[in-house]
Amino acid sequence: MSLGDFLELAYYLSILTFYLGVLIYALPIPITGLKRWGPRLISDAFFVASLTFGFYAILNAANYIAQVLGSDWVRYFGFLNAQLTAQLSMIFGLSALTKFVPPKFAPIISKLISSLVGKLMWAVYATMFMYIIGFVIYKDYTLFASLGIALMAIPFRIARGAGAFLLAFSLVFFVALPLYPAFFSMIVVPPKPNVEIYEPYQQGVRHYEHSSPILDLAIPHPLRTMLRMQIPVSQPPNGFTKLLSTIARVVYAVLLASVLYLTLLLSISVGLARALGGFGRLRVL
Amino acid sequence: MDILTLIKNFIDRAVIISWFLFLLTWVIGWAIKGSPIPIGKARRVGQGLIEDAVWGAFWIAVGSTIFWLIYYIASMLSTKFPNPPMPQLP
Repeated sequence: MSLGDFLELAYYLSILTFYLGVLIYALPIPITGLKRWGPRLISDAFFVASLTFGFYAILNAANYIAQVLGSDWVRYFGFLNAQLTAQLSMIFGLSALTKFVPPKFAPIISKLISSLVGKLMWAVYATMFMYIIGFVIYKDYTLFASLGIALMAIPFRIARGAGAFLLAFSLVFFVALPLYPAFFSMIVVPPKPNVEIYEPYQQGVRHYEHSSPILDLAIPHPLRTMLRMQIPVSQPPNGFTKLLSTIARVVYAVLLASVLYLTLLLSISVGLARALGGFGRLRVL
Repeated sequence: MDILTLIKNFIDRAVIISWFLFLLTWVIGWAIKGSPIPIGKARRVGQGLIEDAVWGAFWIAVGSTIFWLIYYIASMLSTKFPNPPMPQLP
């Protein structure tokens, strides 16, 4: 079924909901719980009809918000492509390392490398998931939104929660998913306005220094150096540890950023779905 | 029979049944209200049935008008939004 089919279905379902509401209104059975469904169904029908007819207005509004926020699908897919390429080249590079190792150490090294490749695969899975979800949303978000409205239009609020969530999910992800590269860079490279990394004073020790403009202006240089707070950070002892830390950083940055961002977007979707009137329970009497 | 035809059939039946129910409820409401039963509660039930029947008939009558109004307002709003302002650095 296409977008137009879903919208037409939603429209006719809203009319059916309306007449069912009228039918319940006109029933000669004076049960309050049953009669309460009359106005409820009528207002539901008007709401869904407004959503159906205002579908393109909603899409235009979402598009407008996306433009204002600066979301760019080309950039999103380019970013994920670059990430995937980097991760896969790391995996291939690590796999190729085993061929250069002397046969005596080969079993140990290959075990270690397969463990590292396993960790890196998690990052590849996360990136692939982001890619697939982005592709699906980019291609078919209008279809999901119209299906959501059609589900909301089913009488007696049977699939109202699911429909509202689907509509909210497609809109929120269409607007906010392309902002993932900005979120990723914010998570991985946090802004450091007042902290500078200085060259080491001594061999093997690095200092983080908190500098403030007032301190810099008022106090002469030698005294300033003594007053600055120094946090020694041990340097990686060799290249292998550096490699390990780089891989760990890649894996955890990708996993953390993708999980955090998807959770954030899903929370916003749930909130929007609630605002659209979702998650109402079916109460017959 | 596709699903749209099925829903349209349901709508037709719902409209016909609603009109009949309106008449039935109206008659039953007046019958209860006008009956020589000296119980206030029964009379109130009759009054409630009449009111509900009138509301039902009102909604059947104006339903299509309200749907048209929603369509009209939504089609006015469906025009394309203007381009967002781009921030210019000095």
